[in-house]
Amino acid sequence: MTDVAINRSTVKRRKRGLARKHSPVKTAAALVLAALLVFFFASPVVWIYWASFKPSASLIGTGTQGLVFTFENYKNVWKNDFGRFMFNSLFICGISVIISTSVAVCASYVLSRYRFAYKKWLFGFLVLTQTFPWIVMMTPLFIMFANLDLINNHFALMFCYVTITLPFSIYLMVGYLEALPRDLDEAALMDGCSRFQTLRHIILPLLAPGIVATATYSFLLMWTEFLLAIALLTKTSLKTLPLGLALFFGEETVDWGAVMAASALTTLPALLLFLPVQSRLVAGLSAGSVKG
Amino acid sequence: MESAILTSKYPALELKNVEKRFDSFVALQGLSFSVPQGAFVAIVGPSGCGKSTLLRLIAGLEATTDGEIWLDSEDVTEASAGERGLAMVFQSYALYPHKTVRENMAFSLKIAKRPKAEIESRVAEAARALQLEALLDRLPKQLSGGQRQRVAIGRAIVRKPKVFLFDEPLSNLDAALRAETRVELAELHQRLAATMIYVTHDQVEAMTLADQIIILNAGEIQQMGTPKELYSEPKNAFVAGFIGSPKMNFVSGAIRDATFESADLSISGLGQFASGASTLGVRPESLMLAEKDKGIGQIEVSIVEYLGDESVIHGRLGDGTPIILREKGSVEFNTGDRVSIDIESIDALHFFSPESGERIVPSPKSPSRG
Repeated sequence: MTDVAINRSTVKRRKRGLARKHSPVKTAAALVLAALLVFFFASPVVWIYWASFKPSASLIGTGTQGLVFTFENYKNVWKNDFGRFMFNSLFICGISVIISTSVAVCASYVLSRYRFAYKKWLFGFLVLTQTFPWIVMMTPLFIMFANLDLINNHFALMFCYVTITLPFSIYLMVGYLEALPRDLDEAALMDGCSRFQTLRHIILPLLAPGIVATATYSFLLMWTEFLLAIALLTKTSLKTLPLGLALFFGEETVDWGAVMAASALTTLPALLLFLPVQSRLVAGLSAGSVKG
Repeated sequence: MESAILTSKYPALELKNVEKRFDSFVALQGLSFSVPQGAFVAIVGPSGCGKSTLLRLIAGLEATTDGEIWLDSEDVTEASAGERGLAMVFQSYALYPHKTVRENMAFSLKIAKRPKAEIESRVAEAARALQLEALLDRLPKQLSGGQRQRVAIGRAIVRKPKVFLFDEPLSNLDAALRAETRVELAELHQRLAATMIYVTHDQVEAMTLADQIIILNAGEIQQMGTPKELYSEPKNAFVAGFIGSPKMNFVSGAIRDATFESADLSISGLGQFASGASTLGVRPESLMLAEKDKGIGQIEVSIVEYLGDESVIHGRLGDGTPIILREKGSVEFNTGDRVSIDIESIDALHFFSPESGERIVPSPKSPSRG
């Protein structure tokens, strides 16, 4: 048989050739547009981090210390138990994301790969739950958890977070699974794998971009959730980051420096957790598995 | 390479009245056949005839609705795909994209918890047989189509399966590579002496590779036999039309007084065939050009394909029935020319019932040309 190895240099040359076809004006316009977009989206975040190192007074225009750099806001925030709120958020969101994503992987595998009665109805119902405004469930949920003596219990919030993120997580994951050829599952079954081994050895590694995307969606939704948390957690020591952030807004005065430092600290874990894995979101792992 | 054939007195594979339904749609019905040990059986048929479903039933990837599947002396109807001890080469190759060639080939043995030394030696053996040694550490995306195909075969060989299943394995290769790989598969079958079931829609692949061919249409077996049997003694018009390239010519007419008459053809000397309406079937290679106004009739030439050693002449009878004939060497015709045709021998003619399509078997009387 003829060995026709992929010629990488040819591919690179072709790519360069394609790039050369664009006119310099168009390229410059695209770059300016991209820079504007980056500025538009990044400037509030940059401003938060910049402002978190400024004295509060300078932020509302009354102070004159334009170039003063201070850690005072962070010290202030830390003194107000912000570390505890961060731990609570990490604990609740971490466990909820693991449960939600694990259940979503298994459920979406069944929905994608098995044939059973009323599958379309079940999937439709899952999507339908997303159209239901969950704010209307607040009162019944509060009564239910009060009856179960689960108010001021992290388990209640985890339960809610897993429940509200699951339908869309499953929906997302089914999309990723549908893009993976079924022949791979069948090849694994022929190779002697059970369904679980197929999922573990073949599907999960290929589903990594989908898992990262789904986990990111769930984590960010939980990390910034306010309404359920404020209803179910009243003890200060149990509160999550969004509730902790709200504590800096006094009834009459607001410590804007502390708010900026708390906001910076709130966004930091999400950035640290997901920046390293974001490249996996677009990884084309399934290339070369099937014909072509 | 060690032979995968089992010294068993039982057929390698046997299907007994197998049926497959998807809701109300009957995909396969009443399938019964057996495959001897070491045979190369091709399952052919048009798209949607159920051939891939049949292979998936044998593989255990689909459950039968009714009937039994036996491997050697064991009823495996209820067994899972992994328990059946078969290996399958998929049309898409289905290589695991995140595993190297070596890992792809070793995967089934790892799942079966075989000792590491045995896994290594079996992978090395298969890689040597398929000239994959230099590619063992590459990922599938770094391989060409032909190389991926060989890895898929290697993955099957490593398992030393009871039966190899091939699902249109050559359909993604270009024509030259397909012909090359076809020969390699035939050599592989000889070397391994293993039982192979090969699904294809390409009757040329089936004719060249298989010891036995099963022709499927609309979920039913039309005929099972050797390539020669199917070619020279087709059971019905479907089989006759499916086997052979170019296709058999069919002309509607009737036999009366030992003579077949259609609007444009007349063939006498058919005493061994009963009188009545019938459809004549004659292969392009059994027709030949005749001198003007001689032979069995005339056609109007529509196109001539020159293939070097022969020419394929496409034409039509007066009533529009298409006729194809093969002639050695080159011929000089223009579109619209009328040429006379003849048959090589009455033995090469087939007659089919216009109602059922079944072949009308001649009575055992020595044929004579009138």
